[in-house]
Amino acid sequence: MTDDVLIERFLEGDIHAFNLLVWRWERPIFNFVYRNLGNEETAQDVCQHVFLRVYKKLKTLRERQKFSSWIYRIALNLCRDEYKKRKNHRLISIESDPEDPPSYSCQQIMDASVQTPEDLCHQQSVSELLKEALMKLPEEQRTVIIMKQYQGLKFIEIADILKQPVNTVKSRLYNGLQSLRIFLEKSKVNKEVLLHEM
Amino acid sequence: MKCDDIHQSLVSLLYGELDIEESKQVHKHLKQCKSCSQVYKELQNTVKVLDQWKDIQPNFKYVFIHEPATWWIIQWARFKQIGWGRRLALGIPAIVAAVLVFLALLNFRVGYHDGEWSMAVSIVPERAETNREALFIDTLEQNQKETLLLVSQMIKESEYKQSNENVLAWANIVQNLEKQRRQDLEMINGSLENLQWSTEGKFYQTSHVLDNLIRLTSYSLESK
Repeated sequence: MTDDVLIERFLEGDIHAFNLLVWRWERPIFNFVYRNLGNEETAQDVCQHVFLRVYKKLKTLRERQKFSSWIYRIALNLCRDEYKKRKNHRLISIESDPEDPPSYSCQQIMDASVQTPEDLCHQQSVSELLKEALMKLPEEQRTVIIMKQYQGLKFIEIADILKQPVNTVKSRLYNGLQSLRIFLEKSKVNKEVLLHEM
Repeated sequence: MKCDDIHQSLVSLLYGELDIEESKQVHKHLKQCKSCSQVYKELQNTVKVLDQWKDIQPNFKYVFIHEPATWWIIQWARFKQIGWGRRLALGIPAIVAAVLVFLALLNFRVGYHDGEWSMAVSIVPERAETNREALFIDTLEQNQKETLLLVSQMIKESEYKQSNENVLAWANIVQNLEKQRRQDLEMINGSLENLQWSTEGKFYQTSHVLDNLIRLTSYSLESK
């Protein structure tokens, strides 16, 4: 059953259709929000707000085939609201000066990186390192990477969600991946993990 | 294809979003250009690292439950189904009525005075009532001030009049006293004149008697 059909049935009064829609989307939306914010509890709260807003505003959605873009746009807007709430949160571009000394948590991960790749995978250090690296990226680059790499959206869909040209989206992705590469090389994890994976 | 223009194509190739023709061109360039080939490999490696961050299963499950629609929601839904003409016909009187009820509730007052409860409902805002009361109090105060001024003027006039009357009375008294004094002086003068006359008469009598006595004496002496 497609999203369109579920939306149609929900608007006719079938709440079970909406619950099916929620269960279908809660994992991708949760992971999208989690990777954007880097905190599981906050992601859970934001995710709840996303579905509440969807519940309230679904009747205003005219192009039902664009439900995917619409729900990601809601999630992204709520993530941005969350950034604004974080007074002590600072976004530092790793592009700006790659020679900067890493933060304390990053240093911890770098220390962990001298361990064997098996240990790293076991301790989920790579996930932590990637989370750290993504959180250091500018918001627009991070969002594009998450949407493309983890949500599997096409460039044209990302451009539609962000209301940006496709070429801008591609440029942000390229720059974001390059910044990540610099960070990962600096943390000495890249090659080891890759060797382990290969 | 130039190296500067290939970045966007590289990410498209990386995620399999290039058509066959473009893909061939990019691959051809990558075979010829070591620098771009290196960049592409690095991008591939970075994506492989990113792939290692797997999705996590959320530890919650949302369930939405329909709440029974309230009377207002049902009426609102019915209202939205009718045409614009009927909406206006029903909506405007409803809004006016709602505003009136709202104003009446705003100005609803309950009071307790002299052992009796009182209630008042008014559409006129309490502020207007207050203004009216304030105006009444101002007028009253103005009247009081004018009355006080008038009474003060009357007192002054009265005092002035009283003062004049006193002066006149004192003048009369002084006049009477002077008149009395003059009469007294005249009486004293008359008395003194009478006394003078009387004294002089007695003096002349005494003198005459003494003369006669002297004459008698001298005569008797001469006769002896």
